[in-house]
Formats: sequence, structure tokens, C-alpha cells
Amino acid sequence: MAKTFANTLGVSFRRVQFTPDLLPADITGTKIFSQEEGTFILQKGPLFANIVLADEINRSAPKTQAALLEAMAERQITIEGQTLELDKPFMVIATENPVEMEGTYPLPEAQVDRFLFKLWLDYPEKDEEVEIMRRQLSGDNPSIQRITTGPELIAAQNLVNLVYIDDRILKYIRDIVIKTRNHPQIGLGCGPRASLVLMKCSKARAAILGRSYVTPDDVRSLTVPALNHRILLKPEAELEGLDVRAVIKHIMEEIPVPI
Amino acid sequence: MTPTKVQITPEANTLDVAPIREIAQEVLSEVSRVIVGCGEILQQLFIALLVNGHVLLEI
Repeated sequence: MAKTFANTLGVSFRRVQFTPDLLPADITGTKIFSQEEGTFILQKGPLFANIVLADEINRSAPKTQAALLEAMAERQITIEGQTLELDKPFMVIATENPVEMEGTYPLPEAQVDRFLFKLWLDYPEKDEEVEIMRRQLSGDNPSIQRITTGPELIAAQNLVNLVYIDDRILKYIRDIVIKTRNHPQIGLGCGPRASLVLMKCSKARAAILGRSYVTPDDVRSLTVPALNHRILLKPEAELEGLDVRAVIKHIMEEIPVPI
Repeated sequence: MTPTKVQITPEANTLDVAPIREIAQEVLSEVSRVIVGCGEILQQLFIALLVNGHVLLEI
């Protein structure tokens, strides 16, 4: 899915399988000695791409995870003293193994916070399951057409910044985020980064729906993916079988929608 | 989730976001020729890309 997405966008794509023996230099790059040139040349790692699929990041040691997260935040990589800018746009799509599985190193909370969204890939709907089989039967392998380019996407990013967001919406976002900090079932609520994220992505949703201003619906439809990895439930709430996403939805029902 | 009918608009707004909508629609329809379903996730991936964000995917 990530690859098809990148191809359609007309940007470069790399996939990295995270394993227990993956080292930071395996993803960032390294300097190797070139016999022909008689000198060390820089070999860029797989993070030098527009869209990087980092598969099962919790199977790697914290050191390698830290290298990935640093590149995500800084958008540059330092290889043996030489600092290199990463490509633009640059997006990491990371997948996690379920934490109950053996041989995983769960990401620390502070690092999970670096991700804009945590999305859940559910099983296909009933009809979709049939459609998947049908497509396999028909043997069609449709070639993907490029819709856009990296530079056009950067222009789109700049345009999104200009989308209007009213003060009442900002206060609505604030109220939702603050509610996660003093909720009886939540042990650890969202930090201020959550408000910024919700503000920015609401603007982007407005833009892709063709609106130049944010509505409360933009906020509401992105609150779960933007907040669900920034909240830890209290142990007793977990024991009751409560789900973070359900708690967030409940919070949204409690906060009055601005009119 | 019940949709709200509120429209909070600025008084004078000249920003034209139609190109973004067009790109988004074309990208999502192109991807759906290969990938079945996942419409919402793809929309969210596109939103993340537009705000320079990274995404954690729970499988």
C-alpha cells in the first residue's frame, strides 16, 4: 500500500525491514573505501527517499530506533561528521509488531509522540474481501499512473498552511486536549504537541475536501488518529477492557462543538 | 459520529485550495485501482504528507 501510494505521488520509495541486528548505519548510510578512487565515498542508506516504509520498528534495538526517530525529527542525517539533508517531502510510515510478541523492543512513549498519527489497519469489509479475491482471479496487474510530483506536493504543503482556522476551533481543540489530562480513566494525557498536530492536520483535511477554512468536523474526524498514541489509560481502566479510542470518542461527545 | 452543520468561515477568503482537492481525489482513486478498501487510511496518509508528518501503522 505504501509503495503504491508513493508511486502514485511520483516520489521515491524505500522499504526497510527492522530486525534485531539492524544497526543505525544500515538505515542512515556509511562511508566505504573505494578501491578505484582510493578514497572513502559516502553510501547513502535507505532513509534517503521521499517515503520510507519502516517495517516492524519494534523488532530493532533502541539505538536503531533512535537513529530513525532522529532522522524523522531533524530531517537530516550526520554520517561520520558529514551532515546531509534528507529528501523533501520526507515521510516515514512505520509499522509495529503487536507488543505482546516476544523479541520486541516497545517504543518509549516520548518517541511514539513523534508520530503525527497512529492508524489501525483493520481487516477488510465483507465485500472487500471478495473483491480482493476477484482481482487476484482476474490476474490484472494495473500499472499505476503518476498523479503528482514532489515539488507540487511541497507547494501543496505551503498552501495548507494558509487555510483559515478560527479562534473558536482553536479553543475547541484545546478543550479536547485538556480533557485528556484530567480524565478519570486516563493516567497520562496529551502534551501540547497534540494541539499543534490537531490544528495542522485539520487544515490539511479542509484543503483536501476543497475548503479554505477548518470546520469542527475536520477536528472531530482526526482526533482519534492524532491522539490515540499519546494517551495511556489507568491500569484499572485497561483491566476493565477499555480502549483508548473509545475513551477519546467519549471525550468528544462531552466537549461542546463550537457554533 | 454525527456530522455538524457548522461552517466557520472567515469573512473574506480568497484562498483557492481546489488544486489540493483535485490531487487528493486523483491520488486516492488511482491507488484504489490496486488497493481494495483502506480509503480512510489513505486519506489520512495524504493528510500526514501535507503537514510533513510521519505515521505509525498498527497492523
